[in-house]
Amino acid sequence: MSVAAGVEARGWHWQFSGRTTPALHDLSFSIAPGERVLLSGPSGCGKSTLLMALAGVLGADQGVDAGDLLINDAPPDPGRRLTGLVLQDPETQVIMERVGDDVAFGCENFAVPRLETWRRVNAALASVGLKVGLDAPTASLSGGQKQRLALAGVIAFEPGLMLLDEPTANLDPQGVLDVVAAVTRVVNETGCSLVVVDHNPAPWEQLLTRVMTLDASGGLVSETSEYPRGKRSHVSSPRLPGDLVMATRDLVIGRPGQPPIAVPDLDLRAGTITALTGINGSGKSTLSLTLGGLLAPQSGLIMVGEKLRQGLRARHVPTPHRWPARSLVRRVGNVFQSPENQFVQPTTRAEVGLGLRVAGMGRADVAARVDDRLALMGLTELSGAHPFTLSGGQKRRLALVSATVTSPHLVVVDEPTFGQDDNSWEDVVTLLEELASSGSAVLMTTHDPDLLGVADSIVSLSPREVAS
Amino acid sequence: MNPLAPLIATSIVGLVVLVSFDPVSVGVALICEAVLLPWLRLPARRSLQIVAIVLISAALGGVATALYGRPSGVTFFAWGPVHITTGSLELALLVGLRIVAIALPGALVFAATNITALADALTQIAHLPARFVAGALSSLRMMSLLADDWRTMGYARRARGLAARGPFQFVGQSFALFVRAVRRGSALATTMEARGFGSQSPRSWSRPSVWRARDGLLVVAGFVVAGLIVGISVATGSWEVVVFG
Repeated sequence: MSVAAGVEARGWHWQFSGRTTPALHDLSFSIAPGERVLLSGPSGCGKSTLLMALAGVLGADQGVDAGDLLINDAPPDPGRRLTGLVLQDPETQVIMERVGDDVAFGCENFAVPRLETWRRVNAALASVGLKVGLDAPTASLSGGQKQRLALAGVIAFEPGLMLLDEPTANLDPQGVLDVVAAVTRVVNETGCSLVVVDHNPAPWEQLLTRVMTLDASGGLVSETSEYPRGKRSHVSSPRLPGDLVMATRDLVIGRPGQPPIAVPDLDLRAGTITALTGINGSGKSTLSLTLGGLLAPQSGLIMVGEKLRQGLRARHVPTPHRWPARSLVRRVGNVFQSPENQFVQPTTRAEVGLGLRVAGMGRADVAARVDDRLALMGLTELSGAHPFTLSGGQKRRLALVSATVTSPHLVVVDEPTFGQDDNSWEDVVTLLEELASSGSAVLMTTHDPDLLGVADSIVSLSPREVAS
Repeated sequence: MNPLAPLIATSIVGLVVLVSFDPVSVGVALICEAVLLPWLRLPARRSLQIVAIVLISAALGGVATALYGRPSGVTFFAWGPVHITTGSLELALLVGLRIVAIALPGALVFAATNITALADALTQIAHLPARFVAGALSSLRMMSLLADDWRTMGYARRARGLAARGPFQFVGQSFALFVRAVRRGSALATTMEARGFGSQSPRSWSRPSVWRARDGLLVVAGFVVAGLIVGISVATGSWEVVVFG
């Protein structure tokens, strides 16, 4: 059984190598054993960095620290089994080939006996609601399923302090409830301490006992007595639906080597925002790739409207995945689920300007448009930074703005509000509405209930597999 | 069956065939392999693919030897450096069969090996350091993700308006794949470290790797086959050792 761990920070600083200002500074706080803390603060303020520091995985090669940061009176060390960290990106947290082995990995490292390990593995998988079997290949899990897997891997070795970075971000509404319930059960059973970063704090309210807030510069932990309420109401200006941009009939989609999925018929009209929901693994990302012209459909029709069709060769029209890359980027803006997957330039600035340069816009016009877009997304100060060094929420905004900088007729975005604070959430919604108002058809995959309120129509994918 | 056993057994046989260079030892090896390999109960479909690949490479090796091998005996055809002679044809047959005898068992066995089970055996039975084996295991798993990564990056480049074909794109995407692999590797290392991997304290094994009598038997069978190959070949007076260089 684990012993709840406490945290003590005294004037602690952290500065990444290569950055001129510290990511976190003057941090003094303590967390008593058994406390359950919501760590909040604006996107990019250093929340993830603090969690990694507490878990003892910020290496001396990554930057320098000053002051004291102590877990149970000693510097953080992941080998002490005091901390269990679930990182932001579920894609990078899969360790083993099979689901059961992956969850067992932590238990093995902490010398949990075999029978006990498998008992815990089964219990952890059940509590996070991942019902795919111990032998299921981890590579075939969806993003949301991988997130549950990562959480199960930490729950299983019963750490004294759980550190969860956006643990519900990729989950469907039932998944959010499952995960919060799973964490609640573990915390109640083991009495462990908990620090949660989640831009959707509402589901955690019953469990968490305290709110700590970082400011934008990564300093001054202030105590907030009031639990944050989502202030994400958005007043939309009315939009007029225009012509069909793209429509599907009897579409069946699937990634290579995965079972095919039948999709309800879609009509995407100019000037509208369509939301795509469905439980984890129902094929939302696969559908996004297919409509975005990146993945060949298995069968069925993709119909292409007049605006998209202009300038395309007739034989290419019904098969967006065969459109030449230049034609595609002028017509369709694709934003992937993992933003890192779409960055192809060395700076934030170049990333935003790429679409315009490919489309042949002049240098001065590119610069003006890029400045405007960076400002809209609050990324101006990071214009020289490498995209990979941005925070999770910043990466997502960069991906969104760089894919839509050419105002394409069709915008396909996967989870656009993941990792956004209330302000940047507003920025993202503003951008999506601006695109729709200017005549784009926007298709967005999302679980965010507030964002669903912005949509003109909602399409729900159910996991209906086609017998092959 | 413990994954180490067939690997050891096929390595022993493969090594002996590699060293020898005469028709009798290759023949004995092929007969023994034909008799013993079905006992390993390898997956049929995958095995057939591998057999096909090995046969094709053996045929290519044989043809090259027939054309360019050391000429001797009756010449059937000569054109520039190409001489097809009775000697080069005999050599070609030997080279082709040797490729089959050496490559087939190893390729079949390795393709059927679950790398997780192999890693378990290497740490628990061969007692190699866990850090080393787990590191190798996770990098092998990452290799299997490279194909997916390549596809995803193709999507990304296309989505951003960069043409998907051509040598420059290939070089660019290859470099990006490398960067991505490094980033993925360091992120994975962080995850593993956060779950207590790499600490000095003792660890447990959730999947026991058991060495049973039949595993030992298989290794013994490997030695017996190796002995038969050398024994029969020497007894018939045809034993020859490969001359390198």
